[in-house]
Amino acid sequence: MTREDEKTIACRCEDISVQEIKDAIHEGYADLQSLKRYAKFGLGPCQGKTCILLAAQILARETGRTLDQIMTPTTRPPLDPVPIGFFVKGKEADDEK
Amino acid sequence: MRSSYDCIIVGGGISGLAIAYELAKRGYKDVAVLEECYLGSGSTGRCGSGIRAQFTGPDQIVLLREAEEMWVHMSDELGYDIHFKACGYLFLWDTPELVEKAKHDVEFQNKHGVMSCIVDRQEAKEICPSLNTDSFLAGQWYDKDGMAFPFDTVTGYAQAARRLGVDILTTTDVVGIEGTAAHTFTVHTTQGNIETKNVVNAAGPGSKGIAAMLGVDLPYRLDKHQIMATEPLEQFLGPMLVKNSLYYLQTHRGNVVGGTDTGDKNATDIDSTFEFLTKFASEACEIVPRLAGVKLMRQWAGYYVVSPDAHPVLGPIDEVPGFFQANGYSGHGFMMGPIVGRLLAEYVADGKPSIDIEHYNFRRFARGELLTEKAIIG
Repeated sequence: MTREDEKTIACRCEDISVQEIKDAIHEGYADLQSLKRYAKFGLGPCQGKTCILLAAQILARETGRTLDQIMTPTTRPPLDPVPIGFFVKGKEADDEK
Repeated sequence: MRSSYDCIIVGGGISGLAIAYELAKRGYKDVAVLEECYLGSGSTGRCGSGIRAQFTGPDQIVLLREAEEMWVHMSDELGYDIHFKACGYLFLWDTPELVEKAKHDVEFQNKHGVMSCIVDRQEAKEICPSLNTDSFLAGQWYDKDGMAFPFDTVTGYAQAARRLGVDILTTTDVVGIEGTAAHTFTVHTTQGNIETKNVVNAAGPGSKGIAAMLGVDLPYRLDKHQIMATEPLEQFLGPMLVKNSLYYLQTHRGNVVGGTDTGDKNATDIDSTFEFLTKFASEACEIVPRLAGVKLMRQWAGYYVVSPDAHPVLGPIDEVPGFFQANGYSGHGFMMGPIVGRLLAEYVADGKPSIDIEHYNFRRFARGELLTEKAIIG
C-alpha cells in the first residue's frame, strides 16, 4: 500500500481511490464487472468514461493479465446525463399522432 | 471445484446464494453454487430493488410478510450492510373503481397481518412531499415495505456462504445434467463434471433451459422490463411510489431508480429503448413534477420470468427426486430471496419447509390448481 495510491482518485464521480480498487481486487473481485459493483466506481454521472479504463488497467496489472483479457461492462444509454423532462411526451408530440 | 457435492445450486443470484447460505447455516455444507457469468449478473442485479408485502393473493402476502421480517435483520445476519430500508410503498389510485378495489385489498392484507392502509391526498403528501396531489384520488400505504441494494445483498450472502464453507464458482456454465439410476446427477459444466445428490434450479431466466435438461417443462414466458437510474441527489423522495405499472424509489446512494411496463412479452432481447424513456418520463413527472429537472444517467433492462399464475415454482419435482425449483418469480424474485433461501434449504436438508408451500409446487400446473395474484407492477 502506498500513500500515493490512497490519495490518487480513480473514479472522480464517486471518490474511489486507486487503493480501494486494489484492495477489492485482492479481496477476490478479479473481474471488472464484479469489481465495479463491489468497489462502486463507474456508476456516477460520467458513467465510467473516466475510470473504467483506469480500473481495467489496474486490474490487468494486479492480476498479471492483458487488457484484452478483461471483459468491460456494457455501456448504457444515454451517453451523457439528460434531464428527465426532455423525454416527457409534450402536447406537440401528441398532436403529431 | 471438487468432483462431487451433496447439493449443486445452479444460479448465483439472490435465490441461489440465499439457499446456499441457509443450507450451510443448517450444517449442510457440501454445497456449490454455479454461476454462468458473475454473481448477480442476471435478474437480481437488474431489478428495481423494491420489497413489498402489499399483494392481493394470500400466498404472496404471507411469504412476503415473512420475508420482510428477515430483510429487517439481514445486514446483521450476514455481517454486511445490504442497505435495507423500510421506506414504505405508496400506491397511487386515480379512479373511484381502483380506490374501491384498494379498500378491499387493504382489508384482505390486514387479515393476513400486513397492516396496510388507505391514505387521502393530504396524508399521501405528508408521506411524499414532492407528490402532485392532482394526479391521484387516494393512496395505499404500508410502512414496512422497503428496499435493499441488490449487489450488496449478493455480496453479503456470497461472503457469508463462503465463510461457512460453500464453494461459489463464477463463469461456470451448466451445459448438461444427467440423472442416474441411483437417483444422483452428473452435472456437466464448462469447468468439468460434478456428481451430486441434489440439484437446485435457481437460474432465473435460464431456469427453463436447466429444467429441460432433466425433461421438466417449466411453462414460463420471458418478458422484457426496462428500468433507469438518475444522477444521485440528496434524499427527497421518501417511499417507493407506484402508479399502475410505474414505480420508482430513491436508493441509499441517492439515485432515483424505477421503471414502467412497455408490454414486451415473449422477449428475446434485453436492449434498452427510447420508447421506454418517453413513457417512463411522462408517467414519472406527472406524479412528481420536480423529477423533470433531474438528469437520467443510465437505462437498462432485464427479464421477468413469468409463470401462468404469476407465482414462482418452489420445491421438489415429483418425477425427478432430488431436483428442486426456485424460479418463475414473475418480477418478485429479489424481494422473496431471503424466505425462498430458508424454505428451499429446509426442503433440501430436512425434506419439509417450516411454512407450507406445497401449493407453489410445479405439479399445480398439471392439476390446474393455479394461484391468483393481480398486483404485478413494472
